Amino acid sequence: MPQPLGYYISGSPAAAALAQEYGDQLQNMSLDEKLLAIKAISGALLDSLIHRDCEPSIEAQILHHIDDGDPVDEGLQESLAALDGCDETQCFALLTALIAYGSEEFRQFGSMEAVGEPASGSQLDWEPDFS
Amino acid sequence: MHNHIGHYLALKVAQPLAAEFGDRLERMSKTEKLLLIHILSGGLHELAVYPNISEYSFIEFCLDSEMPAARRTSVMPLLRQFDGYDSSTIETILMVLVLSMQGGS
Repeated sequence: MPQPLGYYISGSPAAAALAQEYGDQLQNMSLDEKLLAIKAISGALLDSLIHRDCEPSIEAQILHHIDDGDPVDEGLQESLAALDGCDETQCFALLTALIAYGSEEFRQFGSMEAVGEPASGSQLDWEPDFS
Repeated sequence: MHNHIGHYLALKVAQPLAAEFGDRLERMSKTEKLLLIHILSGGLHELAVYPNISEYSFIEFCLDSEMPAARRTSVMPLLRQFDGYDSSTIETILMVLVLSMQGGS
């Protein structure tokens, strides 16, 4: 049973408002939408550190993604663009929630082959226990 | 209060990962952590969108991106190792990276 967004982000009125506004929407996103959101939010935060002279924008990240030829649902695009109103703390909270919500779905990739050579001392014979 | 990254890994019952990457991730800058999150999520997103893909490589994803070479150099060795991990382990790493930044590093 997924936890409400407020479970992951608590302690501030801004975070509570964010939970109310986006909680259901985040939980109902498909896995590819969650991953796109994580990519866009982290990309905007990265821009804020690398390009200090320009305004970081999640919407710009999405538009760049579309320019690369990958279509994005219009509703999702609007929702992600609205996240430009969030501050850094809220963005990290959203990232945490998106990864947590996607946890079970990540396992769908489990049967796929990784291409890299096992690193020396790696733990490929070990599987994480999330219980 | 800042927790060592191994604290978060231990919470996920991922001690082998903590032993292998804990100190390494702990020393990373916020920029490097965000870059890893961006690349890992971007690589997995391609897998989700194109289900006919049967294998993945974060290294290749990073090289295909517009990331400046100088910026990506520091994370390439880690990405090379992450290419050998399953998606559940990558999810754990994503979560650890995000949680460690909320801790203030």
